[in-house]
Amino acid sequence: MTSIRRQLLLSLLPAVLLLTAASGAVLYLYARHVVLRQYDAALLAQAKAVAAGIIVDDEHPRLIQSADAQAGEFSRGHHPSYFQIYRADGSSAIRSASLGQTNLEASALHGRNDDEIWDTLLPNGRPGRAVKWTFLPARDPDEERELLESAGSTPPTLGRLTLVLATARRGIDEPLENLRVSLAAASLLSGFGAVGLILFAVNRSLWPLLDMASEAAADDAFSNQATPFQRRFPESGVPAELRPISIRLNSLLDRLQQTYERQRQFTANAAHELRTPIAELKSLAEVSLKFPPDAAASTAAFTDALAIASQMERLVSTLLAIARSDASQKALLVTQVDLVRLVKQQIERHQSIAGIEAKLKLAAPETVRIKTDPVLLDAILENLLSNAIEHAPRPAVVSIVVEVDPKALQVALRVSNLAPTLNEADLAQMFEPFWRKDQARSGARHFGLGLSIVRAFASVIGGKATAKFRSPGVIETEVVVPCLE
Amino acid sequence: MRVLLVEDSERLQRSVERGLRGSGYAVDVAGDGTHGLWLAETNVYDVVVLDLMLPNLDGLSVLRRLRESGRDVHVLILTAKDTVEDRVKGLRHGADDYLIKPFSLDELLARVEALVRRQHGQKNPRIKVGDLVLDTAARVAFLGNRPIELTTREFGLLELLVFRQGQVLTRTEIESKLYDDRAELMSNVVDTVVYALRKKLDRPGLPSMIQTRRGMGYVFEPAGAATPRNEQ
Repeated sequence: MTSIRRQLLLSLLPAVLLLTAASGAVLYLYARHVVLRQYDAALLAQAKAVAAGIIVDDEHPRLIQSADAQAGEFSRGHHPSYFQIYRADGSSAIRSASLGQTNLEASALHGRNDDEIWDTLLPNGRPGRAVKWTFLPARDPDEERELLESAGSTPPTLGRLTLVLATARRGIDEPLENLRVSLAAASLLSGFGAVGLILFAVNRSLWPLLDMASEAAADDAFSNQATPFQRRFPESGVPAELRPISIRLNSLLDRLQQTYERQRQFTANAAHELRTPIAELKSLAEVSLKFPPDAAASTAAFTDALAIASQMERLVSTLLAIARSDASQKALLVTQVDLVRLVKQQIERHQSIAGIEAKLKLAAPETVRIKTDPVLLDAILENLLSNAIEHAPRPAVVSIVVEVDPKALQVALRVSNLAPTLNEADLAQMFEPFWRKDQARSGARHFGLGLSIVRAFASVIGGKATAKFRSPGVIETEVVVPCLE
Repeated sequence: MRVLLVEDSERLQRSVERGLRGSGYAVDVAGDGTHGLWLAETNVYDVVVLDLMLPNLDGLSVLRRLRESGRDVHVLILTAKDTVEDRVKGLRHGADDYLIKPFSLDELLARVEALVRRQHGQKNPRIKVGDLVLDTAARVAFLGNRPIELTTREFGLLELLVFRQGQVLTRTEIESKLYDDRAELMSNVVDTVVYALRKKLDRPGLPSMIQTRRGMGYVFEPAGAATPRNEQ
């Protein structure tokens, strides 16, 4: 598939050139035909006129005086015309003065038809055009009277005579030549003009397209390391055909940029989160080396080191889980799961860990069967509950509701708790990785990844996670997943 | 010298505190911004080591309020926020130095030392007073060419006295500089240290470098040297 510009030019230019050449040729041929026809008609008329001027007198044809008007033409030295009259037996009866003693087109007597006009070479060597005209000559009127009186009846008919008349083609050849040259020149000029016009028009019209193409191809446009995805295609001042393309490309670039920014932010946050445990570990080691601790302090130091390592391990595992969830559509192990049973198990676990610090209440049907990946579902439940318990004021009262929507074939899992410090603006941010209400996290037990895991995993199993205020100060996090019945 | 550490990570608190104490500083610790600000406004510190991501009141707000209240104690920001914008912001809020986590303990100690020197208008870590040479970086002292064996506390006292040479320091002042809130103090603890230091510094026939001003305190006035010279 070659370029549009080349295709246009390749199809337009030869066609236009051909067209101008063809029109010139056609015009010339037509003009030539008309001219020739007129010339031939004149030639024939001239032959008839000459024939009409022939009378027979004692069996000898002679050209009467009235035909003298033409005599000059037939006797002049410069570009003369020629004629010769033959008797039926092929003998020459009259020759024009210009002929001298040569015969004019003797072969035409038998080789040509009557009225026929053909191109020939004149006796003076120049190109000419000849006509053959067979006619019955008129008798000399005096002789005819005599014969009529003496015979007492119609005098016998005379033999037919054949006139061959030839004139120089110069009369038509020169104008035709001029016409040919003029038409050729005109065709050439208009051809070039058309070529120029086409080139200009094509280039001008395609310029916006070429411009867009070169912008898209520009090396630094979209792969600039410092500011990737910043460039946009112009949406105004572009042709109607290109505008939808620009708009679509720009919207794709917007999405790319957003994704890239989020990715960058995520990575920066992850690295940032690791900084503090690393700083703690480093300081611990340096201080112990610089000021060697006693046995008790040593034990404390190593305990601390272990705790830090565990913390980093948890963070890394969580990050990996999130990263994997993006690609894990294929890795789902889907089986039939009783959602309510899983919820109850998680509630039991968290309640026993939290003890009196938390109170978990459940409202759910006896059983709800769904087809999903139990590991992911469990992780969702785990994170929802531990998030609610962690952030609710003590004692943490957490209410869990499981509700089936049979029409939509989905089941909703809702976890609510008191959240006096949260506001509307936080709702949008809550599911972002590393988001925490209090940006300074003491104890560093929570990285702010729990809800982003919930959202990521929910999406993988075909569901959705949202949050809203059920009532002032009470936050409700809801995960909706498709179910079978 | 007395340092205030405001950092919410308990582990980091412990490590840095130990490191600072081991280097002879008296250290007070706060785990959140509010407590940190209160301590900084209540006590006199030579350096405040301030984390930015603090609960209750963030580090930059602490710094801003400190400066607004006219406190010009030197502040070193210790944080994981490492972008140029963060550093510029911190310095423009009135910080004197900026150290990014994870950091090297030695670097932290060196920067704190530098800020302490700056607090007392000293450029050179090696200070010469007569034939007493104090190397505040290496934490050693020499009399003539002879190194003097000093405990951390004694060196701290000598450093304080030399920095404030010619000025009378009250016992309370000395106490606040040498001891943090954790220390359980005897009432004459300062006198004890002064006595021990004098024993190591004084030479027979020459007046003591540490003079007692009755009812007021102590002053460092080595005989024959008017002002301390920074050693070239």
